[in-house]
Amino acid sequence: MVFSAYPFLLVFLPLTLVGFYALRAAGRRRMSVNFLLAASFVFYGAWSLPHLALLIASILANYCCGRYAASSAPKERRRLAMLAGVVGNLGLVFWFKYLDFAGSNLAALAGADWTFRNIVLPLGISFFTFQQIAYLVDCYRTRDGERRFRDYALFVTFFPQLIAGPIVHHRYARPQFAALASERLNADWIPYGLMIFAMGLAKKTLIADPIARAIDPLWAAAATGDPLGAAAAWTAMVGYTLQIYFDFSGYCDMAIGLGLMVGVRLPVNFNSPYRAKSIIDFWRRWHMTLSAFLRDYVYIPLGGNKGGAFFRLRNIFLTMLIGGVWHGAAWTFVIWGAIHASLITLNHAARLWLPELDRWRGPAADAVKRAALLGAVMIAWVYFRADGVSAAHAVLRGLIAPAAGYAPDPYVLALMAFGAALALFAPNSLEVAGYVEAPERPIPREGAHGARMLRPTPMAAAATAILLAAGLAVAWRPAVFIYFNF
Amino acid sequence: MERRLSPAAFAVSALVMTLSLLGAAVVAPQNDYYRWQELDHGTTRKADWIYERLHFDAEPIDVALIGTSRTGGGLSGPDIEAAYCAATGRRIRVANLSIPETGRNIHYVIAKEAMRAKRPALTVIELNEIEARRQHRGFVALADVEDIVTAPIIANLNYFPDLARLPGRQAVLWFRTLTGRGAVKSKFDPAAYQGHDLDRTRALPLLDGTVVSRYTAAPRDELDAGRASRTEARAGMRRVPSAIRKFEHRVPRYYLRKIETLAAENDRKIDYAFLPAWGEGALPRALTDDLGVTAPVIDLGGRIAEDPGKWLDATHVNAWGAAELSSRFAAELVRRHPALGEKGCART
Repeated sequence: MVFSAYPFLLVFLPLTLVGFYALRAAGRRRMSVNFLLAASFVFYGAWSLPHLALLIASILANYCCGRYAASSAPKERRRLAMLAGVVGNLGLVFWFKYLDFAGSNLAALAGADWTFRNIVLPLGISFFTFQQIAYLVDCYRTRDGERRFRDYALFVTFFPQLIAGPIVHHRYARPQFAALASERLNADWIPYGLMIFAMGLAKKTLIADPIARAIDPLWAAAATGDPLGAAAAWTAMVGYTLQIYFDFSGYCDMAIGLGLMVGVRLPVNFNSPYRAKSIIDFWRRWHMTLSAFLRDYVYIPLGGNKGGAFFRLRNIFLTMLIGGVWHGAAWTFVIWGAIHASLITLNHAARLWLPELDRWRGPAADAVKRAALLGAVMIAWVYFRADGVSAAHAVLRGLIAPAAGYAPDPYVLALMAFGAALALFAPNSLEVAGYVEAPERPIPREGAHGARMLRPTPMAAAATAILLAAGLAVAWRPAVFIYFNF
Repeated sequence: MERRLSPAAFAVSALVMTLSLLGAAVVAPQNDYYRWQELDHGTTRKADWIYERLHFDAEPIDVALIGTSRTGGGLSGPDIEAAYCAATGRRIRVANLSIPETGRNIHYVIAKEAMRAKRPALTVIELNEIEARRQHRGFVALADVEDIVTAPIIANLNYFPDLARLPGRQAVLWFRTLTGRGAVKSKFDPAAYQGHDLDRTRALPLLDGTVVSRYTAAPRDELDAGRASRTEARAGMRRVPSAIRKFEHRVPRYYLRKIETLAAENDRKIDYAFLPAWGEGALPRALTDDLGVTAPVIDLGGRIAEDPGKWLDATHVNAWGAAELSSRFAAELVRRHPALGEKGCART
């Protein structure tokens, strides 16, 4: 079920909310948490029952490894349990996600004919395995694991973030699930959840999906080897830059909104990345929980800042490259990761050896830096989106080709201009809502932009209704979120 | 002092307003011609021509053919008109209003529009050896609001998806109407009109401008493979538990009765025509009984179902097959309805 599709919007979500709140109204708080877990299994099982079985097996195995890794057993044994779990998770991801890619490349090198094409990628496998890897490492480091299997299973399967994140740390989710089973919910969160969810739905269905429908034929043409003119190539590249922005941003808003509606705060995962002034800043704003995961569980184990500038830069490069490959098993993702790895390494190197560049500030400097960053990010997105390296090169060649044979739809151009204005200049939805991710802190009366803009007023209810109605009206042809593929 | 709503009041008012907005979208004014431009079949279009034939073409319609792509590619209006003229000396206008894919609901929508605009003397509805459980995906694009809302609920797998899609469809059509911009054309262009005698039995024009000739015959192994996959699909359909078997064709029955009622109310006739598939030339009596078909059936099955030279694929006849079917259909028409149309035609 896709968040923006009717089965989710009109069946799953209403039934889940009604069931959840009916149980809580009857004083059955623990039961309501069990219900949430069952709903999450239904949510995942709706895609594939065999993959649901795989998910449950993965949860059971990781729960056991985590318990042992956090136990009072000798350190070496605990370490072994942790490593077994990590290797198991990585093996699972490798089998489902990378075996075909690795096998076919090895086969090409060896001149053999190995194919693994019957392997279907379970949805969200990168997210739920990496979240559990983090959990196992934390269990080993802190000797503090989850005792309640239900809470652990919900930590992994919680439907708002199961398929495409945000990647949640157990220490962040644990107190919230525990509180859910024992404490009264803050009802104020429901309007906030609904408002943020409505904004996410609108971003996805009113901006990302129409742009996708307009540019998909251009990418398909590039994949079949058709030469693209400049107008088509620029529309494809800029269109995808906006599509993925509003697709992922919309997803993140919907996930946070859904979490709030059932009394759980999720971490902020997206913070106006196209307003960044450097690639380092970009990665602090795009898929923030993945960046944090890579920092904590890849960069630091690789050595982090230790060993001098060369090793630090090497570790940064490798971490970003791994981040690229994490997104998918294809050379296009390797190249995309390599571009970002190179840029971020150069950015760090410039900070070390050209500090005056970092100190160059002011409106002109900001404009130059933002334009350079956006240009680099857009070119990298071409590899991210293209169906193969040659298709990416067809689009890139088209950028400097004559603009013949394609006239973009003016409505799509207007939509893209509107989207670009929102992405570059408007406060993002979580800023507008005054969302605070720390569960222990109340939603503030004053938000990041002075007075909090979203309050549960009749006007806000009307605005929410307009966004929901518009989102629902066009949700009859939903497109899967881009990050569902990873 | 700013008025704040309680969480429950906020949620309820937002949801009520959402439903009100969706309701308002449903009743928003819209241009029917634009609505009939909303349906395409990936590589082809037909619905917009049907609307143009019914509403912008002064030629009357004596015989309306309604069915799937089997009828669309299997019965030639001009051929039938010529054969009928040769046999009776009468001029009739045959409009092939078939549309690809299965679903009786869309047959009803087309029949209703045809009856409203042209009141054809005879409407011929296609029958074939299998009846789809899922209704036509284009129904929600072409049907008017009332027909979508009042469609049967029980055993109708499309009902709720269609209903959910209705506000969006109406909002899009309202926007198109407001901006005067249909999905394909803003207004009827006589120069671009494909004519009253549109015939797709010889060639199929695709949206990308290419034209696919139907003067080609599929290899026999391809035909057999197609038949095998159709048989397999039908075997799957038989797995309906006997307790609910009577509901299996409830929705097609509902729409066929609606079409028959519509014709009776307009004092017009209904016939059925059985269009065979490769290897399946026998009229499926059990199915027609289950569908409650009591009107005459023009049986176009028989030996053509075993003649590999007459098939484009396992479901559709090619141009030679269409010529044979059209000829047989015209002969049956002459036999059953010898006084259609008007006297006087150029016998060529």
